[in-house]
Amino acid sequence: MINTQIMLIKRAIWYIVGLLLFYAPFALYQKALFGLVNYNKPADIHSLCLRMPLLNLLLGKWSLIVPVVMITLFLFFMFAIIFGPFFCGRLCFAGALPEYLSRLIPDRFKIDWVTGINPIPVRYGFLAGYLITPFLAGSIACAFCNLSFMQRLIDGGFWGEFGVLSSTNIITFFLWIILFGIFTKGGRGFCNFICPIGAVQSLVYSISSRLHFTYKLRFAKDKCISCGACVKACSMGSLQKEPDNSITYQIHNCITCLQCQAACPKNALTYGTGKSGWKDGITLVNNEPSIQESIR
Amino acid sequence: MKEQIKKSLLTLCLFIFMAGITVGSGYYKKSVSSERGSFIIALPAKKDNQEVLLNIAEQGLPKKLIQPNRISISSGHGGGIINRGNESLWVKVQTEGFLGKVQLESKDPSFNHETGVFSRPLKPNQSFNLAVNLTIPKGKLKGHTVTEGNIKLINSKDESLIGNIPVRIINSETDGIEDSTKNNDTNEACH
Repeated sequence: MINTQIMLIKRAIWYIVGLLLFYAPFALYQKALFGLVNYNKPADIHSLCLRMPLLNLLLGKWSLIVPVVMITLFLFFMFAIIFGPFFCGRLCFAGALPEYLSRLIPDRFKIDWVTGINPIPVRYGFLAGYLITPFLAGSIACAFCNLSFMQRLIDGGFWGEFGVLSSTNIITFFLWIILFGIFTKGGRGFCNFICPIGAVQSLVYSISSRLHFTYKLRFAKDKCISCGACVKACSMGSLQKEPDNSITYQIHNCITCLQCQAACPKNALTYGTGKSGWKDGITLVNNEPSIQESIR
Repeated sequence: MKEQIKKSLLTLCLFIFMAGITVGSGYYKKSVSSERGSFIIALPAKKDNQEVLLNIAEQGLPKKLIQPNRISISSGHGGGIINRGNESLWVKVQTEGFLGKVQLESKDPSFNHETGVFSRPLKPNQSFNLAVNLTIPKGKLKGHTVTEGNIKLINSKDESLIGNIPVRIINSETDGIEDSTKNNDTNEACH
């Protein structure tokens, strides 16, 4: 319990670092990078958006593809390959906000989407739709972006001026903070279902975690007592306890926040390099009898 | 085996369903795109820019419920006020004729939103972005012509007009008899 609380505080500090790094008026990352490549543009979360660079790429406007975006893209993928969904698990303040807010609401008011709907086809379906949409109806990148709305909240001092909102902004806020946020178990429904950044990172992580040198959530089967503490702590619902007491792990929506590691009383879950320890490497089902059952 | 096939089919259906929803949301976004006005202007302009016409009746339901009276007319993220001349321009923004509160915004660090002045020059082939945000009194939304005004771009060195963007906001749901602009509540920003 104490470990869980400490982990929550540690993560909150990381997310605040994320806020300082990427959001105006701080935007320390952008300012440092802009200084490095002598790029004279306003520094806020929009300056990292890939919408315009990808559009320029598709239209063949190579000269408009700025080094800032290329460097960011490179770092994003390198971190995802080596450390897993590092951005989601450590730095994404927009993802953390509804999670922490949802902790203030009693569980009986929250919907457990993940047990009813498999989030994996939904999040990859969204990613596929997100990539197809520009060719059919125009990009939805800005219209439904929670990171952009986060910048609005910061600009307006959280309780102040949100600026002029469009219908899509209002829908985004409702889904991100209200329906899939504070009224969702774990508070990360938006991350689970409709975040293209998270989906790309998960895709990369699901492949890179097969490599020995990369960091991943590891499982020590011999230490697990199937107590379910990790399942309760997992805000993404990527760990589930099956009726046969086995613990299943879905790597495609794990953000390696390591809240499960802190909650595990037997240190059966750790984050590090080497073998993952989950059955089948990626399908990741621990359906062997637990120690508790063996003792019985 | 049968169970496995059923599970795979369900997964595929969910995937296609969500991809479809996402594409649908793109069309929805397109259908409400007229909630925001947009413009691009090449400076120095010899004549008035094309009029920005916005229809409040075309707002989406969420906008109508939450914030129908707040309207943004912007040049977009990527710039929009472009210097096509050979010399640097010192740009100042002024608005005239709009009802209610007018706020000016730009992501350019040199922009003073109170005075409307860009403190750095706009060099040839470079661009500034600008958003003009209007807060129209709610009671004034019923007239056919809700408000009309101009966004003026002025050379702050000699105060000459180098660009003008006429803006008209209408509400086609009304019968056109009442005209909100016929009163003295007009505000001008950045003098």
